[in-house]
Amino acid sequence: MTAPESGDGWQRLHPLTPLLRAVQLLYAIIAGVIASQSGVGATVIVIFIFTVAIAAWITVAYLRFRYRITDDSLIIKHGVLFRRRRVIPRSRIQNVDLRAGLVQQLFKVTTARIETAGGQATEATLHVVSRDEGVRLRARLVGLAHDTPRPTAAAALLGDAHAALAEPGRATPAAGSTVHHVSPLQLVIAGATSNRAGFLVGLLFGGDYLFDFMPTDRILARFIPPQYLESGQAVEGLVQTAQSDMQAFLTGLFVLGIIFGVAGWAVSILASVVRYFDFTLRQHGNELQVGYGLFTRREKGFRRSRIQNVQIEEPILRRWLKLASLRVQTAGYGPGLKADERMETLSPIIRAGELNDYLHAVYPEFEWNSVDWRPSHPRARRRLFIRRAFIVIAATAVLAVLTTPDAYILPIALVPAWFLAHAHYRHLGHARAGSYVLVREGLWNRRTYIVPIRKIQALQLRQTPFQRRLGLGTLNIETAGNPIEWHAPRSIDLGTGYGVEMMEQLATEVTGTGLTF
Amino acid sequence: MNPLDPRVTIVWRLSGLILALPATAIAGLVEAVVLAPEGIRLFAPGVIAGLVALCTLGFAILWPGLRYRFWRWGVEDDRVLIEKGVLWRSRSLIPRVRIQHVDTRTSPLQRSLRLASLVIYTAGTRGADVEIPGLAADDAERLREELARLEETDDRA
Repeated sequence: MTAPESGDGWQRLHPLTPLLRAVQLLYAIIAGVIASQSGVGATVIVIFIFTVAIAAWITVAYLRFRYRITDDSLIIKHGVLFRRRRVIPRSRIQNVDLRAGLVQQLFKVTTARIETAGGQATEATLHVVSRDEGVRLRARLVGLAHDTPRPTAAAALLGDAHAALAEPGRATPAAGSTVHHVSPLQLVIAGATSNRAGFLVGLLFGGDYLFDFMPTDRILARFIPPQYLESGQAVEGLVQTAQSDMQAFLTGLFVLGIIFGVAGWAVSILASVVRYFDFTLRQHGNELQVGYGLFTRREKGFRRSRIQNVQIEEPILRRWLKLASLRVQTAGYGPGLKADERMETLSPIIRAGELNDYLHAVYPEFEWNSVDWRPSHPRARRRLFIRRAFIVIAATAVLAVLTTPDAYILPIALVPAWFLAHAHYRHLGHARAGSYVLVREGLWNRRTYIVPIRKIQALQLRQTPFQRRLGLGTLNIETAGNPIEWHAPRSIDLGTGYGVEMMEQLATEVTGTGLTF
Repeated sequence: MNPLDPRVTIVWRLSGLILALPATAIAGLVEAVVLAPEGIRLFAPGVIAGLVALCTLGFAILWPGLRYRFWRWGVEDDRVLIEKGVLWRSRSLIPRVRIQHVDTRTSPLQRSLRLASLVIYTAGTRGADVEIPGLAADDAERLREELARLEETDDRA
């Protein structure tokens, strides 16, 4: 089914739009409930009036909404009381996202969102168009046909030639080919190795302790003496047991750990499978397309030249299994969007060994395997330890004040803190590779950012009072589209002099790239 | 690297004082309405509000001097540099080719002292828009023109 077309190429939304908007008729019921206090007659009249008004509004809104694509822009005119006409130049469009919920998938329609750089929220939303029309929109607005950034095309050719030289046997992705498809089994692994599983286990322990919403005490009653479970509360019973019967405590802890562990992992796996179901990445020349999701199907397309930076995420389990996930920042998503939606997933899970091939799809001239990482300043270890030691000492002090005799055992935690600080230090680093700068950080979830120097907007070296004492500083690399500080490229704990020098050097190179974005 | 116009400390002090007044008033109100009936007080009635007043006033008078001492800015051929921060130091660098546009901005307080703020915008998202708060109004205008001029020449190239 195609949208009815009127003269001059103006198009309407899909005819199902009013039907899908009909959920808004529920407002009439709400109004009716409010009116029900003043009698049955009033309720009927209010519901009738609201239903008619809302239905009329939905219909008129549908009839008034027209859009058309010209050679260089998307034009939308809409509005019931206030008419608006909006022109979005094609060159300003960062990405076109298609998102279809369960009902929309059933009717083969989708919501198209057009994102431009800047602005709080989505620039324009076409709710709803047929799926074919959505794909056509995306192809015409971000597709290769009208895309003319010659340098990138040349770079792509060079990159492919280079890749072919480096590895003659490897097939380089042809235009329109599927670069990557993720099987459900891989998604299970992705969910199992995500830090979310650990987080959920913690949440379950805490939730059981505070709200006691699970029948865990009944299961636990088989393993620890019942008198400790008088409260009917598993975690508290366990704490009671710890003070008298160590063996029963350990058994109980083990059982409870298994229960919560399995539950946490199951939820995490389920979440990952539902979200990234049937994940596919395609490449059409300079355009990258991803599609994923079971209940809500997302299909997104963006130009390679619009990618601001790439983020490689390696939670601790994935690091051990030599796995990673890959995301890109495209500056199209404003701060009005949820943190989850602000970066585009390029792969929920890949083998670390495939990273190089994969990054070629984004940065053809970038060689991941030849990156030479440099560590942060050695004094960073001291700061990372002091930070953890401070927490241990503060906790000890609090316990001592509360006259818990065990408080003096707590400083033993300084030993693992020292090891953690050293482990953390090993994951801090930065590197230069051609016209890219790389930074990484994070112990439990290591994030590596690859930033093309031409995308750097500003640089900032910051020092907390502690860092200043140790002569250290954190170099923030600002690009478009990373609104949260700890989810953005930065190199922690460089020596101050070295950091300043690196900043000056990068600035000179940024100037050398001229006015590109 | 240049310091700010020294008169900016007057602006900072005055705006600090303007904030100190309501803070003291709120502390006084809380003390009289919430704490006093509960019998909570330090030594004598009014001491808590007095302490709040002393701290906010002291902060408003002393802090701007320190802040001024650590504020430095500079415009070079290809970059804008800013150093600031008393406890949390930061050193920002904006390549001039990345400047999107430049504004000058004046509050009534600044206007009465013939001061202006210069705001530099880039396409970056976080700390990438920077403000140089206390410049003589003429300097700010001149600087704005100068920074805009480079944008134009690069556009033609």
